[in-house]
Amino acid sequence: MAYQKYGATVLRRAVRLLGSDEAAWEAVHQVFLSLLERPEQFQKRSSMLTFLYEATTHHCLNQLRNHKTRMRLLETKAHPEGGSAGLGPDEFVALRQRLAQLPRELGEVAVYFHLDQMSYDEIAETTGHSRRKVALLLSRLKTHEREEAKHED
Amino acid sequence: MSERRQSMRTEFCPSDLELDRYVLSELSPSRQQALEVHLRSCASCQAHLSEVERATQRLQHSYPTFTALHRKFRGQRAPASTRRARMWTLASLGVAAAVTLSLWWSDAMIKEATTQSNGLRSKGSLSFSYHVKRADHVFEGGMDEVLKSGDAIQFTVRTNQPGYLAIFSVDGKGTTNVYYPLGALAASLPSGHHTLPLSTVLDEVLGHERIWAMFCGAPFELEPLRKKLQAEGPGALDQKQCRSEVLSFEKRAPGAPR
Repeated sequence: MAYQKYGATVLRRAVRLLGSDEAAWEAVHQVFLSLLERPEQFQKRSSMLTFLYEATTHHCLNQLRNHKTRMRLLETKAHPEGGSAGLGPDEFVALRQRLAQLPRELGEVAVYFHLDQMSYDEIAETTGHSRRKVALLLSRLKTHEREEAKHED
Repeated sequence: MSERRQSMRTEFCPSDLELDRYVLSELSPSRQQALEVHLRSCASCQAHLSEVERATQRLQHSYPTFTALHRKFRGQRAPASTRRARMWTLASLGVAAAVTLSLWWSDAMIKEATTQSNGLRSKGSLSFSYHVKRADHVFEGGMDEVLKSGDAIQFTVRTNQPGYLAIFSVDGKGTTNVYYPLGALAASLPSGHHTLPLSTVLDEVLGHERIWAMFCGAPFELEPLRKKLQAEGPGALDQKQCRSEVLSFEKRAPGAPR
């Protein structure tokens, strides 16, 4: 069963994005229950691993965008296991705030590019986009981040 | 959106996706070999693998609950509040991991130690041995070797055909653990000689510990077999299309005499 093989990957990913044990376990169950409910989601256009990467990212970004959830998560400091993910408590909060504010497509590529350190080809494989579209989205993301930096200055 | 791992990252560091593929044994043999060379010297990637290991241990203990949830889901989906309460319960599950740390030492150190002793146990096409790292000293472990809490051990396996491998242990308190691999399924292994990528730092449970290498022609799930080994003893590993080999050592406190 996919849960047994890939569950830990989904859990780790969710902890990293949401920073909360409760929310991460909820994500694990939602992702796998959704797959059980609608197995046609996985159309074998990619591997099960990249499908679950995308599904988990999608779920977590939705949680961050949801106002009530975001308020709860923003109060959560870094998960004790977040250390090896490399983010300090303040960075965790800032990361979640920024991801929540990005348009959907940009939020997803931001996670793959900045957090997962994926190459263009890996992002294309995970999202199902062409490499050209990935390049376009990353270009838009960089523009967005530059403008955001100007506002902060 | 800066991140410490990013700042520590080199152009040779793999993405998280590739590291996960490594842990799940989904990389090609050549890419896996190249990655292992990198992992030996990259603290950032090693930290990532430790994180994956912790998540794996926590998840393995949640599996029965998810099965129950799955069964319930088939009939009637539980209300959101109920699901949330159940998830709280899952989140609060503590895991007393018998083994925790992952680290690597060089092939050269192991090779040197291998030439000094012969603790190899073999049967048919499966050979199974281990090396011990104590401070900066690496030596090959023999049958009933006296080891100490804090020693790190790393396993070596040789097979003449491809298959699926897992390593189980029963410690001095009779608790059964999975030493290898990290995931829920046995690791795919090509034929040849393999030093397994993860090593184990021995915990403080003292006494006689036995280690089994289970090698099968088909994939198998770890948790059901771990439970069977716990309940039934070594006979649980006598299965068709599988071979198992056992090693043992005596674990003592760091200050205890040999």
